Amino acid sequence: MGFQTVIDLIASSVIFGWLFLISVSNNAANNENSQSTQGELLCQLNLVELTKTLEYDFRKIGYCKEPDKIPNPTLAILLADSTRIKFLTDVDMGSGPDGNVDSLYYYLGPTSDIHGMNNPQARILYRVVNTQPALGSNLGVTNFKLTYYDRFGTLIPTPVASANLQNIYSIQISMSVQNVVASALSETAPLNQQFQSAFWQQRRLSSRNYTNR
Amino acid sequence: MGRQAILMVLGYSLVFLMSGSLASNATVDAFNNAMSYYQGNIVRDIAISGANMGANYIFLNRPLMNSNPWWSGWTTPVNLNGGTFTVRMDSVKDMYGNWGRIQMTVNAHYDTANYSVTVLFHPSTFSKFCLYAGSMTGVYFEPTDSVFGPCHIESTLNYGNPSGGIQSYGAYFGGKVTTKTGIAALTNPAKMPTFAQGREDGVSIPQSLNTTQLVSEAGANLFTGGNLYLNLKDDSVSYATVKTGPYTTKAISQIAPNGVLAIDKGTLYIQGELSVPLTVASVRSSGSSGGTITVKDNVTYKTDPRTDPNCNALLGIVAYSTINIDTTASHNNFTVDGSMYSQTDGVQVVNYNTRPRGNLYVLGGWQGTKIYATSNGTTAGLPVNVTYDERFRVESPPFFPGTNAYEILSWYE
Repeated sequence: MGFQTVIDLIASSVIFGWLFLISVSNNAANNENSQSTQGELLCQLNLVELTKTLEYDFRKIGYCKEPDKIPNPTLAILLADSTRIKFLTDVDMGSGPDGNVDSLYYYLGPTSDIHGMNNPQARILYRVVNTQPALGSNLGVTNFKLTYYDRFGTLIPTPVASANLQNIYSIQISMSVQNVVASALSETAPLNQQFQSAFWQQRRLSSRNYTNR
Repeated sequence: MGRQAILMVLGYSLVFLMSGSLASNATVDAFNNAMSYYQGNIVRDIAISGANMGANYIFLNRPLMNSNPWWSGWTTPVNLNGGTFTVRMDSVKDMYGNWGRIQMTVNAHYDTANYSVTVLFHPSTFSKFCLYAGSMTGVYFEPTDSVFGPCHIESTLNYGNPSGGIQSYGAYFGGKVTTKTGIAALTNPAKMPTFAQGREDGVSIPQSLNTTQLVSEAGANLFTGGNLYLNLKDDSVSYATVKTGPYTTKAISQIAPNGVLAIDKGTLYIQGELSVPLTVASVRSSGSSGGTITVKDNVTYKTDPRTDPNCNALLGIVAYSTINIDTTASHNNFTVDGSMYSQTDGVQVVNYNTRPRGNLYVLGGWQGTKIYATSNGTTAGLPVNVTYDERFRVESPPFFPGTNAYEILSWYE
């Protein structure tokens, strides 16, 4: 245990410490990166699922398996606002359309509906069939906006007056989804929280049934 | 110490490799998710295109119409945009159990994605129009005119402004409007009408009264020559060939099992109240006289279909020539529930410019070659208020004249 050994121990400790710090730092960065990527994936999955549901339902505005029950499909939209819409359709309850007219109501809930999650902007997009309880899950919807146009492409102001509901020809749907939990946190949370986000827009969605007669 | 450092480096390398792999997998999953959505859009586009092609074939070839052969679709997969689609055709019944509708099912396939579109068609009839005019020669829609249902003009839709100053608005069309040759202003100045549900020009739907179909295929109870007086009473009818009688009363289901009562080369007079589907027709199989109908008094449904969802009464009044509205002078407010079709003329109010002023309410539709004035605009005649019977968008009176085309009723995807 001479002087040289002491020097070796000190040098190796320094190198070890240096390597250890680098490793810890890399590990943290790696974890954050991994969480961020997973967060983006989750966000995208949520968005696609919501998108598919919306497109599926909105394309059936005015549809009924027994068309005689909705003789004038242009009257199928009952309520139209920037974050909510109610319309007549024939909802598939699990065994396909049954030929009975149902009402379907979509609306964006308030942020206060979500508890225990740290994304303060997340809301629930509710789906209500007839008079059943509103259903929706927290998929991180932060923005859901409906814009209505008549057949000449002219914007119809919202909320759409009942006299103008019949003039709706196409709908623009814009939706943003964020993670419900932050992928990265800093000591100064919540300001430095990172939420992955994804945006989707259907520029002009027009139900064939709504305009086919 | 060196060996431990190497082990540590190796350990962390392993951790980083696993993390990298996880991150890579997440990226691949995200890509796959995006591709799945993309594939869904592509296969939907293929299915929609297939449905549009199939619908075009149906519109052009009109299977089962006018003795055209049945079309079974395209059962062999058709290649399109990297995918395939097939089309299957079926004959289906409506909710009342009547045949006549056809259903097209399109199945599309792209990579691992599948998509189906089901389109329901039915033979289109002229009763779907709130207003149909073969010609508007010399007449035009004024600013106070409004049509709240589908409208077709088999010529040019004329609009204008009567003398006395131009209005700030034009005529109002609340339903879809189609014309054969566009629109024209007959006065100067004139205010452009409002077409709330749009207007499509270049659409030709010529009138076609198929006497054979109406009489033979429908198995109509046919009277020939002279006059036929009909008094409707719910689901029965009293009829006579002379106005003063004697009248014979029979259930409509008995005298007209398929819902058509007709007279050839004569004049049919009608009034009363109806609770079942019925078409009354006055045709002209040959010669130059007959084929007219005179509505003598109110012809109404027993219950109002706008408020009674169980009302299944549908009345078609079909004439080869003129349909006259002829009421007693003291009868001011006059109602016709049903769709009136005139093959070669139109609906005329008798003595429209001298008779006492009243109103003519129509719940149904009005289709004819010509449009006539029904009042003198101020003191005499019967100004018309036509309210479209929304049921006529999907239903029609028995064997009502058809447009010789199919129409899409519903589109499911």
